[in-house]
Amino acid sequence: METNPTDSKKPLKFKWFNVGQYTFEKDGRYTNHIGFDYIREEEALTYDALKIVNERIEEARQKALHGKLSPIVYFMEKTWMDPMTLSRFVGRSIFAVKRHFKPKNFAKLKSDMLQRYADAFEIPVEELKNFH
Amino acid sequence: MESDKIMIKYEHRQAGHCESGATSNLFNFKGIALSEPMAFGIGNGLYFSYLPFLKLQFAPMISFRNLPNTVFRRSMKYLKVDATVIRKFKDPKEAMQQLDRNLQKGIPTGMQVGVFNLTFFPPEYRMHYNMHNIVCFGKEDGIYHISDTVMEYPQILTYDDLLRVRYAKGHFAPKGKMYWINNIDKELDIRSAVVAGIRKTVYEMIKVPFPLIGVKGLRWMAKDLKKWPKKLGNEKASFYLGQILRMSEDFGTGGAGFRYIYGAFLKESGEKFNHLELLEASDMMGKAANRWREFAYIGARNCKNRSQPQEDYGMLANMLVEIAGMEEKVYKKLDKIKL
Repeated sequence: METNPTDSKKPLKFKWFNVGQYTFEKDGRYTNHIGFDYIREEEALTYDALKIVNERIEEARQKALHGKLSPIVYFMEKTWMDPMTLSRFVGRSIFAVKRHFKPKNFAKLKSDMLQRYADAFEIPVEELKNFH
Repeated sequence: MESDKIMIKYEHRQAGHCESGATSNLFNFKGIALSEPMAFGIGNGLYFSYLPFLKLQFAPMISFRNLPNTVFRRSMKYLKVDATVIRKFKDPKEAMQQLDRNLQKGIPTGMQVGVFNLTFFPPEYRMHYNMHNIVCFGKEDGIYHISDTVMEYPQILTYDDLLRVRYAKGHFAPKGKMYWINNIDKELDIRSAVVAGIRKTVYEMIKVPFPLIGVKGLRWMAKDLKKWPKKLGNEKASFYLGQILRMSEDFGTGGAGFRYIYGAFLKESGEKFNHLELLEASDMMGKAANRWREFAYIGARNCKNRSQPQEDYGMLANMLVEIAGMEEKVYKKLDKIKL
């Protein structure tokens, strides 16, 4: 057994899942094997998606630093959430969550709400308050 | 509490889809050989819905699978097996105690979990996706032995990690949902279960009176796909398309992968009951699945180089319409079959 839960803390190399694959042969048989059929040449697809996510994280960071958006956006992107998921995490409507993306409204947030956001992102509240 | 060690003799086999794999493994534990495609077909694994007004990960929401726990619940219902599903626990500790009690009784227990905090998953795959299924079959010193049908080997999780994934937040939150099989008669009426399963799948794919579900939804998506490059610009259209392909093929659950499993189910039941039409339907399904895979290849190539997007999207949309037609023929054929 190659199981060590602590391993995943380290940055891993990209690894495909080898799952049970069913294929349809030309003579009408279905075969079953373990592997990853889809994509070898197109491996870049998921890389592309990851690249886009990383770009968006960087963009959100810059905007948060320059005071155009609130730090919530940066942490939301960083934890791979979207406004809908985040609204479920903090227990407010999507509309309310999107309102908090504006720095003006973010500054008015009470400590209770900040705590909820911090819990959702699993960071201390100070990091959210003093973003730099 | 700390010293007890329980290991149930549970055979871990890898499968194509987490829930049908878990169901088939649980059956095997009880001594009844039910292959993964059979569990998938009887439990209505096949599904399609396109919900463009909901955005998931900044792209329209597309679902290739039924709601969580459908495969297990329906296959139990149609096979008339005595099983328990506990939908939710208010108290997380109570949920873990119930799991411990089950393990002490020697019952391997399936659970719905969120993927984001699963420690043995590669980080790239950890989305906020709460419809994953695992089976717990052992415990020692606060460490749980987990059979995840996506992974090659059984895995382990600590108490805290397991608690976290069982109470993941977000869409379709698991809330500690768990399920297990109590009793099985040795004589299962597979024939009637197959009939019921096929009937339900046919209903869901072509007969639901709502335009975004099943084959109709596929056509609707094709129509939208054509418009994307003009409406949203190349970059966003390519991101949307990439998201569809990632949803359908990267995780092995969706598009072609599911059609292959369903075809295998039709084949197996056709051979079992010596039914010619089922075999023909399985052939047609296999061809549709091959077409799906081609669609995925071409789409991925399109995503990568973005050379002539307007033409390419039109072609992809036509391909989807063609696939929808192929699938509709299969379901119409299945609708008329008498078993």
